[in-house]
This record gives sequence, structure tokens and C-alpha cells, in this order.
Amino acid sequence: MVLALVMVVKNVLIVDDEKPFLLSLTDGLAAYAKDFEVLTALNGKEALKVLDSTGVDLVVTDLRMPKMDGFELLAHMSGQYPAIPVIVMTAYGTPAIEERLQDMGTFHYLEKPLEFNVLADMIFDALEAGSSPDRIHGVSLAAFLQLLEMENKTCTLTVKSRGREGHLYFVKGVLMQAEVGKVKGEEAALDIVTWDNVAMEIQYTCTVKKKSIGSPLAEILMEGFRIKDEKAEKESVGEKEEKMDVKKLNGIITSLAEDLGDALLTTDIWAVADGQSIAGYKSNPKAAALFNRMGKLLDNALQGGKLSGIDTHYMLHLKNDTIMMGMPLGDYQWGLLVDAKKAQLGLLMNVIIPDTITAIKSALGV
Amino acid sequence: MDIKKLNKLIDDLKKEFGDALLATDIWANADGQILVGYNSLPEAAALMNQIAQQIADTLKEADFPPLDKFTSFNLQGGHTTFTLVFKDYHWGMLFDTTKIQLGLLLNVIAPKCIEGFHEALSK
Repeated sequence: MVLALVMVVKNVLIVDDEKPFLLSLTDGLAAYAKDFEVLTALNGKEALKVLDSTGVDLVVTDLRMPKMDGFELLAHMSGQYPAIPVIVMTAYGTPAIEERLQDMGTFHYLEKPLEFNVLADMIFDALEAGSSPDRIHGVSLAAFLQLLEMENKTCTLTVKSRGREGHLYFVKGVLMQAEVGKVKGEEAALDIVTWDNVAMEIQYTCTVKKKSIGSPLAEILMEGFRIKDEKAEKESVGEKEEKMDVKKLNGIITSLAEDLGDALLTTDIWAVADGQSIAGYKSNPKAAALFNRMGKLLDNALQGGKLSGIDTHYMLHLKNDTIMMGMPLGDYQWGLLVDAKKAQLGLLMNVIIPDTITAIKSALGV
Repeated sequence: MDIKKLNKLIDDLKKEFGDALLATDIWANADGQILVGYNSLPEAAALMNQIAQQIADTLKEADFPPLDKFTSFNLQGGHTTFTLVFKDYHWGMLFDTTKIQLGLLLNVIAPKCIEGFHEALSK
């Protein structure tokens, strides 16, 4: 077998208004010519021309530049080139600022004066991250807002996402006001910061004079992240519920009740996360709660003791001659209590349980 | 306690189940120490003893009846545990899930084991 290795040289665009600095960077990074080619631009406007004409894999940009600065460039890139990773350079950073930006984790930050090996390492990291399909590229809204605050910017930022439009007003880096349609203030700010796939436009004017937002930006961003996570979790639960065929589940339970007759005392199918029953026969919340606890107990105890977890079922014979059976089904569980004297255990174990598990899994979409 | 009788019960179990039976142990609830066994698994016995205690506590807290005759866990990896519950002891068995005849175990062997164990205790 012949393996053909094709080396693809990537393009790194460095944007800075200091010509000698650009030249020294180009020279210093020439050692990595087999991995990436360095393109340069003296301001945002020039950078846009390069971006429009050449396939750029990474942008390394200063923030303070004439004609079009780094903020305008980043805002433009958020709409036109959202997938291109970005490294921001600034001469005005402090360790606290650096830590905050690194914590954002969405783009890379470098403090001037630069060390070639540090810059090269960061370029390789950013290029690698840029090629990962799972990663958010470019600059995030949260990181951009933090930069505006840290650079004491006075501006109006227009944010667009999925047909929505909002405005954030900054005076000397302080978030004064936010609006989305008729909604204003902190409520609007909290809404905007949860948007994703945003395109931004920045104007260096701000008509707002009165501060209507009490919380600091960092708090709004943190709360925004929390709301976003909560929303994502709800959507995920919603998607699962959409996949679920509750009618079919009820049909399965009815059929099970017919098969087992009066041997079946109670049965429920519930979500492990909240213990809430989805379908059941003679539903018994107390029993469902016990089953839920029991399932977790067994999983923790068995796996904590380095044994494998429960596969298809567990079975407990209780003093009143009932059998408690629990079946884990991913995010759900099915439990039943049967009268040991009346149940045909052979039929239950060999036919009813395996068939019912298959049918329930299909109805749950797991 | 008639240890000879217990060993005889374990021999009978081996004969009944052949290579479906991977291991079996009888242990004391108080300390989880094994009295008699075949392919003994002291760590597993200690763990199962602990789990039995936790199950008992959970049932009690939920105001449910306590464990009576047995527990059985169908485990990932093709193993099934079956544990007979006695007042001061447990008799644990580990089976190959693909080979175990559960009907035979539940309806024939388990009642015999329970009866034989009580006889061994009474001596």
C-alpha cells in the first residue's frame, strides 16, 4: 500500500499598524514556513481585503490601529468569517485581563511584547483548534464584550442572530443600556448574551447617557451562560420527549397488564433525572421513587466495587411475597412489582420481560 | 452449624449447574467473612454483603417490606448474581448468564438450598 502525504501550508494573517513589528514577526516566523505562510496587513481595512481575496486559516490582530481597528475587524469577521480562529494581541494587557480572556476559552490572547516561540505555539494551537469541527471558532460575543470593557470603549454594538437584532451601548467600557425590540435594560442584555452564531457591527458613537444596567458585565455574562446552559438542557429533554411515543408506551403497559393479570401489582416507566412517571399501571409514586433510588444505589455500589453495572434487570424478593424488578433503560427505568405466588416467573423472565424491554426501548427512542 | 452439610449443598449445586456456576460463597452478614465456597470471591462477597445492607436500609426508609428470599442482578459482561437471604447469612452465586436455567434455579434449586441451609444451621 502506498501512502501519499499531502502537506497543506496554512495562511496566517497578522494585522498590526507597526511596520517594523510586522517585519520582525515575518522574519521570526519564517522558521515555520513549512507549516504556515505569514500574510500581513497594516489595519483592519487591509486585513479585510486579504480575507476577501485569500483563504486565511488564522488571524492574529492588534486592537488599536488607524482606519479600521481590531474591534471593527473582529466584528466584521463575526458575520463574514465566523469560522476563522483569532488571536488578539494587545500592549495594554494585565495578568488579570489575560486570565479573564483565557477563561473565556473561545479565542487566544497575547500580550506585547511577544516572544516568537510563544506566538508560534499559540498559532499551532489555534490552527489545530480551527480544524476541529467540534469547536466554536472565531471570537465569541462574550469575549468581544469583555474586550470592549477592558479597552474602555465608547460604542454602540449591534448584534444579530437568527433574525433577531439587539443593541448594546458602552461608554468608556461600561455597559450602559441594552435593547431588543421594546425590551430594554438588564433583561435585554441577558437575552443578547445568550445568543449564538452572532454577527456584530460596531459604531464608535453612543447616544445613551443614562446607565440603566446595574450589574457589572462579568455578572451578566455569567448569568447569561447559566441561562444558556439551562435552555440547552431543556431543549435536550424536549428533543427526547419528542422522540418518545407515549401512546405506544401506554399500549405496551396495557398489554403487559393483560399478560400478567392480577400478578401485576404496579408498574411504571420514569425518567431517571427527575423520577417522574411517563407511563404506568396502578402507578405508585412511592414505588417509582424507591425504584429510582434502588437503581442509582446498585449502579453506584456495583461500579464503585469495580463490578459491572446492571445490564437488563435486577430482582428483589420481598417479605410480603412480592418481587420487585427494575430494568435500566439509559435515561429511563422501568420497574414492576409482581405477586410472587401468582406470577409465572419462567414466562415473566424468558418472554415477557425481554419482549417488553425491546418494545419500551423502541417507544422511548433509546 | 453442620459444615459438612453446607459443603454437600455446594457440591450438589455444582453438579446441578455444571459450568454455568462460576463461583459460590456463603458468608456471615456480620463481617462478610466466607464460611464455605467454591471458586471463592472474598471481595465480591464483601461487596454483595454491603449492597444487601444498603438495599435493606433503602427499603426500610421507603417503608417497604424487607428483603425475604433472594436478590438477583443481571450484570453487564454476561454474569448473573443470585443471592439467597438468611437471617444472619447470605449465600451468593455467580452464574454465566447464557448458561443459567433460571426456572430451574428459582423453582427447584433455590427452595432445596434454603431447606438444606436451615437443616445445616439447626445442627
